[in-house]
Amino acid sequence: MGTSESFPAQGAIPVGYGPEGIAVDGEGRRGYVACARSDSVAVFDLDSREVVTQVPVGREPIGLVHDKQGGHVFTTDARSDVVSVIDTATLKVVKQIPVQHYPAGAGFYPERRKVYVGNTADNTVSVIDADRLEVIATVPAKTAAGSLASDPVRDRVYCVNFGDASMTVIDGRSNEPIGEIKLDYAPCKIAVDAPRGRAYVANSLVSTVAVVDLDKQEVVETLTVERAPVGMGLGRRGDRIYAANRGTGRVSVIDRQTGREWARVPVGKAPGDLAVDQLSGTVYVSDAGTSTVSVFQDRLDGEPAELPSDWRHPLIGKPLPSFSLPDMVDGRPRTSEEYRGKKYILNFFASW
Amino acid sequence: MVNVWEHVDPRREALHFCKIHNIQGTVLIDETGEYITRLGLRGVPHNVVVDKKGIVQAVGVTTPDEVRATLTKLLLPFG
Repeated sequence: MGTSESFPAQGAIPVGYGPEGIAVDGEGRRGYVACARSDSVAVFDLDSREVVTQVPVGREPIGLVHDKQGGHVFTTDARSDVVSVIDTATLKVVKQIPVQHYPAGAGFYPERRKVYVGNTADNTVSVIDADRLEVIATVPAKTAAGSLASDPVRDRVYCVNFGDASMTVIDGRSNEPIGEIKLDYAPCKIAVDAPRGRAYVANSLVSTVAVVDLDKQEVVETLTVERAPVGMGLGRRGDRIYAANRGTGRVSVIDRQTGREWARVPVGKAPGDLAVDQLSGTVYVSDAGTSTVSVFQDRLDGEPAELPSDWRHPLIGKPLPSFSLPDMVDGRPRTSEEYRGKKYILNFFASW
Repeated sequence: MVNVWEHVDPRREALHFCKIHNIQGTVLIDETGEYITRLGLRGVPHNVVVDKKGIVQAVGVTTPDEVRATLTKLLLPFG
């Protein structure tokens, strides 16, 4: 298989709690990651791999985009219903723009100078003028509108609706919703390859990536990845698709042309979003479980061998290790002894 | 259910999450992820299916198809 040796993890940068949306500026040698449980943006140096500063923003920042030309980073602060705007020269918040409820996704359309925000609780998209720093339109979308991406070739913006298995198509100039594309269950994150006319959508609850033909406006292929993909990114040369699998702590590396999953790169626990430095090809992954940003370099050349298909978790067939954990309601310890002689399922989850 | 890796205010966050998603039943808190890490799991969500003898029968099984297949197999009378 394409082993981890082909993709040396180059370490992990401790950032804030619950890192989610991430962007890297290869020329400026800076990275920005929204830390949803620290209510801040961690700014890190791509060379020293250290956090330069933590910029306090609103509550629960999730989505993040970087506008290089305007010198701003925008975060969607879900529990404050605002978008915070950080000046990347002073590293201070210069404005908080009110949007609608629970803004959880962000997208940027540099050619139109617009930032798009998915208001997940209101099923709408706020369109922000990236220079005036004001909301200029609010577009109706569908249930749990979230992740967004722009398509300068077709002059459109796409918003995936997590609760509706669909993607709303927005006209780049008029801000009007002009169509809808049916998707698979639970679309969570979108990445667009505009020159090739493809969008890649991570469907977290069914562990697939949908390949959308942006001219035909339909799903043309569905790729199986690992458990709960929630982050998507495209490789520097357009040859790779990366999916961050929250369920397995690995990033699936997919060959664009064949749709084959080439490798699985171990990163930190429960990874979320990812960003690719378009100068070096280095991949940065926000790991919500470990509160780190993992760094790896995709150096794989040629065709790797098949991934193993018959892997079995080593716990299967063995006794469950005993536990004693506090109950959420009253804090009293609950132990595996209570469940002795019963069939049961332990479901592990996080709120983020 | 076991809430993991919450890092900040785990009890409050877990209660909030369960209220929003209308989740009922027992919820335990593994704040640092010490227990889930001991099981060799590196992400969420994960289901661990345990039989009457305390033996792990399945790990993972979170997509609707996986859940259906696993529960059908394990609920068979002689399974």
